Amino acid sequence: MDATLATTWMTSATAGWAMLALIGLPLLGVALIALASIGRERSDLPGGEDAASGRRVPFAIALATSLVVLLLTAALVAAHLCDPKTLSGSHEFAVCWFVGGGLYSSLSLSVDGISVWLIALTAVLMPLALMGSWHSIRRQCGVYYGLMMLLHAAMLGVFLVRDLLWFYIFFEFTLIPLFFLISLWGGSQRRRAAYKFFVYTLAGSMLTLAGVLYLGVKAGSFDFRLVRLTASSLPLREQVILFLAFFAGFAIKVPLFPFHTWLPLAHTEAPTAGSVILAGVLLKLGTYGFLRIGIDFMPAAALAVAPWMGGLAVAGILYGALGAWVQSDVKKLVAYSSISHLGFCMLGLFALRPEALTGGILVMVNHGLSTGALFLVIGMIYERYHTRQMSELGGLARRMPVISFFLVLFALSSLGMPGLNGFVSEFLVLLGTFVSGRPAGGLPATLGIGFAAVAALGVILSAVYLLHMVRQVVFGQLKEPEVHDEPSARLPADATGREWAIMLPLGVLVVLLGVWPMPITQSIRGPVDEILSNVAATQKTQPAERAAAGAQKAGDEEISNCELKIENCRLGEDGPVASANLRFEIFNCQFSIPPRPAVAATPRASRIREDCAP
Amino acid sequence: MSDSLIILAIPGCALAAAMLIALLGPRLLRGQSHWVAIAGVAGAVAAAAHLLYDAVPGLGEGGRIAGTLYRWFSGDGFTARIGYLYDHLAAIMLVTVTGVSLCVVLYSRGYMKGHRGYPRFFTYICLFVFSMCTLVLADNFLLLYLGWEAVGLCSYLLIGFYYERPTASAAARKAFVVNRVGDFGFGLGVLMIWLTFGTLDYGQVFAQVPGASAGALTAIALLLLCGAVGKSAQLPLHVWLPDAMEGPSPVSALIHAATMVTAGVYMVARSMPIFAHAPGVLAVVAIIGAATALFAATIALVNNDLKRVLAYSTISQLGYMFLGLGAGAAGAAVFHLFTHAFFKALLFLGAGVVMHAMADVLDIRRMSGLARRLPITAVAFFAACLALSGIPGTAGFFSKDQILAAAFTSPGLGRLGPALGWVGLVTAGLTAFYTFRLFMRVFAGPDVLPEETHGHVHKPSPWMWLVLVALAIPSIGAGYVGGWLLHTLGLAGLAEAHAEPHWLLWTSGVVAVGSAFLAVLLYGPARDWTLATRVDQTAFYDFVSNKYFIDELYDAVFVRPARALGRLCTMIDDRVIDNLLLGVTWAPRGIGRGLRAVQRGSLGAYAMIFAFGAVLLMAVLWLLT
Repeated sequence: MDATLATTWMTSATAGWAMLALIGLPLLGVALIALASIGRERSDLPGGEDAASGRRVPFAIALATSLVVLLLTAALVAAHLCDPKTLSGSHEFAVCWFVGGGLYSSLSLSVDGISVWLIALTAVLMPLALMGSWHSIRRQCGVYYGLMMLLHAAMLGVFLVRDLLWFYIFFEFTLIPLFFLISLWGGSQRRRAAYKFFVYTLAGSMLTLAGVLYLGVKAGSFDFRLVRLTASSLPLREQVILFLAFFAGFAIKVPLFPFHTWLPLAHTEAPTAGSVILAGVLLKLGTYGFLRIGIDFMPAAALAVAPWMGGLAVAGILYGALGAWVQSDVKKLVAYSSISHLGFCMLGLFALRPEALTGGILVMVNHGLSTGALFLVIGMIYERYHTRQMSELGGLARRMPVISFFLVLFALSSLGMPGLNGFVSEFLVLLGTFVSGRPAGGLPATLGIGFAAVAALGVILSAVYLLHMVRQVVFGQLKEPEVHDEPSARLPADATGREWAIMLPLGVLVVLLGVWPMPITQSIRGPVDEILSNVAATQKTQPAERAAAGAQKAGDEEISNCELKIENCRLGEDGPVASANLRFEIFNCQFSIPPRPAVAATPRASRIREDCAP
Repeated sequence: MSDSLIILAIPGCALAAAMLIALLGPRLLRGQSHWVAIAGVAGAVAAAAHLLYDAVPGLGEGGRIAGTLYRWFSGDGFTARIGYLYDHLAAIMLVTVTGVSLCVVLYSRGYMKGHRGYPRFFTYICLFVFSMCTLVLADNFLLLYLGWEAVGLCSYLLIGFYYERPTASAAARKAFVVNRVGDFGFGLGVLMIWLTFGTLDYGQVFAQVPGASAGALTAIALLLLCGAVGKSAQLPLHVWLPDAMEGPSPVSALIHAATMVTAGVYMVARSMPIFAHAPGVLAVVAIIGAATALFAATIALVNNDLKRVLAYSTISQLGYMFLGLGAGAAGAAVFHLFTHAFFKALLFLGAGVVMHAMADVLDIRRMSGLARRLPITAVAFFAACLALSGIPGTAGFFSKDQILAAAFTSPGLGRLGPALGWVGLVTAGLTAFYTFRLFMRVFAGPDVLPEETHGHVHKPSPWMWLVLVALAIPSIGAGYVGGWLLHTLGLAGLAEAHAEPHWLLWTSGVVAVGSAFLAVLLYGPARDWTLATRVDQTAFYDFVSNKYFIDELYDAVFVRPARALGRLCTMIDDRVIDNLLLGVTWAPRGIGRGLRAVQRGSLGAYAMIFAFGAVLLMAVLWLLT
């Protein structure tokens, strides 16, 4: 019923507006919160009825907005499951010309089998994170919920856009709201955490910006398809350099070992909702970037660096797991566990096998759910006892059976218990990595058994540290620190209705994605195959290119500065990229032949050659 | 079709019961939760029995019922299915598992009565029955792995059932983690199977085994064995099982004696086509089995904790089953699994009665003469002791003997076979000795009660003693029924190649009776402690009674270094990587600060720097020329 309804309304024509609405709605929420907050500046004084109402309005606006976004996302997911083609077309808004018309950019939106699940993850986590903030956020609520909405828009934007410049803008923009969320509502070391987080991520993204601009200028456009066309036909060395530029930004975001040290502190000091969004969605921006840009745009480079990336991923798995084991702070333990889990994700991506890639993408979703859920539950415990030290807690199963149940459930999901969501992704990653030692389907050997075996040690360790946490917090003699804080005393011992509403959907999803993840794994398959066939094609053309490189040197001079006019060009299978004239400066004509053996490639390539002919 | 439905009903009943109790238990059912559990497990028993009755003739001829429930997940060429396979091996396992489960559920009605976690207990038990049936009915290695981990989870939850005891929660975590170490191998084995055969379905894998390379098969078999060793508490991963006795006694009976720990045996028996074609691996299985059997029996000789003696005995008996598997006699191993399930469950349930009566005291040195106070328990316990000792005529005698015969005559083991057979025979003697030592110390002798009881002995409820009596019957008689069953199911065929030597039958009988008699002499009514106390004071006794210090060894070799490494990791994070980063951010500021000093506008400083610079320049020039 729901699905058919969604498909009737969600046609190719309306889908674009729906996607735009996903970014626009949270921004509208920001505007509403700002309007509502005018004249209420005085009302955020602590205590008193006024404070509650000052808290209520922005909270309600933000929650309502995020719920509408969730509904819209549900419609998108339904439409995608019925027919992926409905959403995969590109929808352009806000067309921009830079540098006297030489550089093209547009807010072009599209959803495929990969991004649809990440959008769904974002849309699911945001209302829960907001609900989790109700009790703990009591100062400057308008600003807080406004920032959350800004963050929401930016995150959805990253997953929706198909334009490199807009991607970078949204990617970077997430930094700003989160910086304020940590530094204003964080724990005792919030300033240091926010500073470290900011410096780290900014340092990395400077290099990424260089990469973005380089690719944009080279392709004459920031449109993903054109950029991909240009980038994937660059010579290997150039691709690797570009890959490293993007690596700087993405690896820090993921965070890939050894660029992870900002994460434990930022996670620990952030308010609950900040940790949830940070772990649940923001880390995925890095892995998504690696997949969408690193692997898809620079396939030759991805192949070349795969063993290195795999090595860093495996190191991160073990490093994070060992680090998690010795923490005394619950939040820090979960933060370190994120490093370990994201290592699995990166391992899956760079094994460059369909199973592993599917698993890697699924890790993004599953880690978002499980770790987000863990942070939410830990937040509930923190609201009651104002401590995150495991040594000060114990035996909570007696005091709060419901919260304890969910904590154990999410811990089990996180440690990869079969039947819950984490297992499926972990298994697919290990399976793909395991078989990646052999060439298959046109793809060369990448990682292999050794990587999988060492990574599997992380599976043992995840049981060690998570059950260590469960044992300390949930089991044993009841141990509760004294709480003098007045608002916390008002919370009942076990879960409130609001907390049930947070934990139950997550619990259901954790089980559902454990026993029946088939729809997701199936819909991921299409884009994964596309990406990998691109990678495989590079492998085929690489030797030919090298041979051509020598012959081409002579002709280099004459072609290098030739200008191309491509009128109404149709690239890819989705429809017109741009109806306007595009001007390309192509330095190496031969390299801009799309490496994919697609049928459409041949006429286009020949046309480029014709135009180039002096 | 209807058979498929009945097959699905076995785990289905248990799952439905578990969910029902979980949802309604805490508020609605409370003290009546057992009814749902009994109904659910009884449904599973009925389905299993019906299938057995219905399908026995077909199964004997290699018949099987298989099907797919749904597709679980996929990744390109790989598709995971939820499917079931009912054959002779599954049939006998299901009867054992559901039968013992029903007994334990009924017993728990009496044992757990009044505990505040009453619904929780029955939820976990039903969840366990579901998981175990899933494990047994799985038709591919991935689903087997799911069931495997799920029973591990139930075991974890039930060991930690009394979660407020620090020892219980520690034991639960230890069990899970040690099992995970084994599962690390199992998981890699599954991946290796996929790499080698391109499928995880039993049928397709086993069909391709003869054509596969020996190296790959050996690797797969050894990796799978890792998992089996962990789950069945064999050397060197046996450390979790004695600690698992922190769980309630019915749990020890069901999970840590009769069913879950035998999953390793089941898995090896199931994968026998792989093991049989992997050269040398069966010998490894046999050696591990024999070594574990002997090793655990020696600890059981000196341990003084009622349940832990039984736990070491379980490890030892599982070692026998591995010996049987290693000898290539999967039928004998499964036969022993079948008989052992009944008498070991009975022993643990009897221990539970003693524990209730003795106010949770388990030290056998602090009690004696309980036969007068708990006569029915004593008789049932005695029957199980006879079976465990392998006294001729009882269930244990038949099954243990088949294993020993297989070891002595195994063509695969060659000269190793008789050697391991003798180890098994010696262990049989030790088994009879520690079993009767236990029985005599607890049930015979003068009337001694620990002071915690205050002279009052808590009598078992009818729920409990009726179950004990019910279990005593198969403890004695399962040898006859089981033998027939295995023959009809075609399982015994796996062991039949070995003609049993007559001398062995006699020797093992004499060894068992003799050792039991020795124990009765030493610990019986005419007890004489002088020899026992003299043995107690030797260093070797100390070494053995400390479980060969293996826990301490693992702690020193694995746990502490790993934690130290973890601490090192966080230290590197905080001190090294962070400082490098901060160094980078400090560099511009530092340079700026340094340069600021030379540009303060002080004429004197400028002159000074100028002078120094000039001198330096001249010095350099002078040096160069």
